[in-house]
This record gives sequence, structure tokens and C-alpha cells, in this order.
Amino acid sequence: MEHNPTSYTDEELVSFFTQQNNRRALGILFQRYAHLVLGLCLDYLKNREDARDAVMDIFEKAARKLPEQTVEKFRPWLFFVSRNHCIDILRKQLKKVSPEFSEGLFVESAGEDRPIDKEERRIELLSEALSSLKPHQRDCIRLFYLKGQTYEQVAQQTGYSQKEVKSFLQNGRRNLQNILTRLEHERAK
Amino acid sequence: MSEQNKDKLDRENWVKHPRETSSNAESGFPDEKSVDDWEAIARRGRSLLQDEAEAAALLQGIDEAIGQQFGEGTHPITEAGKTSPFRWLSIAASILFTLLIAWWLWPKTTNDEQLYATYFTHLDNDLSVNLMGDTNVDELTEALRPYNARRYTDAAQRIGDYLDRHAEPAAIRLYYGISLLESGSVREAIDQLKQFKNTSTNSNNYVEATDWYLALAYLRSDQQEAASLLLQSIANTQHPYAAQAKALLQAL
Repeated sequence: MEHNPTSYTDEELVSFFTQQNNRRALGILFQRYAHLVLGLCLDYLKNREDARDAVMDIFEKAARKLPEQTVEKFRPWLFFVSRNHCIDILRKQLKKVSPEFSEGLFVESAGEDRPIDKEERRIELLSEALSSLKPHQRDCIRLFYLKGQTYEQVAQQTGYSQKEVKSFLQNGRRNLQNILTRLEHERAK
Repeated sequence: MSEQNKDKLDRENWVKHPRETSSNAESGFPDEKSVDDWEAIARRGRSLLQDEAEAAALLQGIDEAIGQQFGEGTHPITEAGKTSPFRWLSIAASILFTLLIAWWLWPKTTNDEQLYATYFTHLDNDLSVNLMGDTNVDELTEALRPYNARRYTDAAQRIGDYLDRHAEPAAIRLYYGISLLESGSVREAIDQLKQFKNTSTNSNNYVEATDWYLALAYLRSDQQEAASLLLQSIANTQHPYAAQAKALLQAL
């Protein structure tokens, strides 16, 4: 019996893939969620190229994981695969950033024994705090601190002068710290 | 509302990013990022894109990549496990039909792919040497490092990043196209190679190489007629790839 593929539920499509190795079913499923995964990646990563690559990496990862796991509900499962992937990317970026940026940015210091969920929470807060910044400050902070670009490279990419870039970084970093402090206090209540 | 229509509506709404649905997109965002807030998160992510056209183009690129990697999502799926009196007859007919189609398509597709694999060769990167002393040479050399190591997927990513920041040297787009071609992003490779060719005012070694790799890209994307036409124009002129083009034309 043939059906319009879009009439299948998520779980039926998962079953076609895991039981019959039907990759087309997986393609339909991924296209169904592409806008949500892309939106989530944009929200975390704040950059369209990084988000686009992350979406495809997430789908590849999901295709590898699905046959190994029992997935009862696909939507929440894909959400957490996507979220965790973005957090991993941000964690790697944060490990490479300058101490000037990472130290003192959060209210509490980051110890070696810090639970992983707390670290994830901070990365999520950082992602949210970056969203609250003005676009020109956010772009400069992302390129300079998270991507490791020089003042000159940031200026070239954004079109701002180097003097403006330095000013946006200084103000953006101060605003980011204020927002993070506020968010941490709000969430601690 | 059916599942299909609901998905379509969600997707269209995301692309359009209507203001009335983004009340919590900028402020008052949910405390925890959970699956229940996924649409709100996605809308906030969407707000970082400039307009509907950018969102639609980005999503279309992802759809195409999914299509290339997992198969297109518009064809029917044969459902297994249902008991119907005509089930086995239907399956047998489907198998027979599939075999007929496969028999019709297989030799051509395999032949084109085999020919591509036979005739594709790595084009040595001489940009890093030719541009020694330029301001961007270190960044350029770094971007081309995976290409030199023939890690084309990585190369496509790195050169693409470089091109986001620099327009020069224009010929780096040739290496970008080759990397995309070898990593399987054939349509994008064709776009990039055509873009470089169209923006080059003078003929030079890079443009001539672009003709050859564009012909190979057409071959790999089953556009045999377009490949043949381009190969003929290469074969009939004083072109560094004339001999290869003649040999490939004979093999087609």
C-alpha cells in the first residue's frame, strides 16, 4: 500500500528507517523538522553558516543514533539531540576563547568539579544573554571572542571601523556581564 | 488540520516570521529551554535572519542537502506489515517495476559516475605560492590546507568561510567548486564554478581549469548533454584540457 509520505507520523517514519533501513523516510522526517532545528541552531550559535552546518551535523548524528536507541517520541528526542549538539559547539568555542572573556563573566567561578548540567546551564544563559545584546555588539562579540578573529578581521566582516569594533566589544562585554548576572539571579529564585 | 498541513503552516510561519507570533521572542523568554518551547526558540533564532528571502534560501539549501543525503521527501513510501489480499501481488509488481527501472537507469548512471571517477584529478593549489606577500596569504594558506591534503569536505567548509570574509583572490572559487564537487555537493559546485567563470574577464589557467571541472560536474549530476557541449568546446580549441576532453567524449 502506498501513502503520501507526509501523512505518516514521526514514529512511523522512524520505524521505516530503523526496521527497513528506508533512508527516504528519514529524509521526510528531517525536512519536516528542518525549520525548527535551524531556528534552534540560529538561536544558540547566532550565525547562519554555523547554524546551517550544525543542522546537517545534527541530522547525520540522528541518523547514526536512531538505530541504536529506542525512541518512543521523536520530537523531544530530536530537540535534545539538537540542543546538546549546539551546547557542545559552544562549549568548544568557549574553551578556546581568551581568559579575559570567560573569566568573571559569570557570577560564580567555574571549578573543575562543576557539574556538567550547571556548565550547560551557563552556556544556555550565555546564548540567551547574547540574544539580548544589540545586534552590532552581539556580532562583534561573537566574531572576536567566540570565533577568535582579530579586530581587523571583525572590522572587515562587519563593515565597522576598528575603533567602532573596539567600542562595541567593550560595551557589549559590559552589557553581557550585566545580563548574565541578572539572568542568573532570576533563575536562582 | 492534518499533520501535513500543520507542518506546512509551521514552516511557512517560520520563514515569514510574523511579528504577532513573536511576543516572547525578544523578551520574557521561557526560563528553561524545553521541547515545549521549541517553536518559540526557533522563532527567536529566525529573528536573527534579515528577511523572508534569506530564511527561505537557507531552508531550501538544507532541504537540498537532506535530499542529496537521505533522498527526496515527496515520493510515496511502500508500507510494510499491512495485510491485504493484493499485498503480495502488489509487492511483486513493485519489485518488477523497480527492476525494470533499475535496468534502464543503472548502466548510464554507473557509467557517468565511473567516468567521473576516472577523469577527475586533483588540481594542485598554486594560489598560496602566487600570492606570497599579500596581506591575506596566511589566512588563505590555512583555508587551503585541507584542500592540499585532499580532504575535500573539510576544504569546502574552510574555503567557504574564507570566501565569506574575502573576495580575493577570485580564483579561490575554483578550488571551492572542486572541493564541493568531490565532496558530493554537485549542484553548489556547478553554481560556484559558473560564478567564477562568469566573473572572469580574461581567459587564464584558472578559467580553463574551470571549464574542465564544470564539465565533470555536469557529468556527475547526470547532465550529459551539458557536459558534452562543454567538452566539445574544450576539445576543439587550444585548451590545456583538450586531450582529456576528447578522450572523455569518446567514452561517453
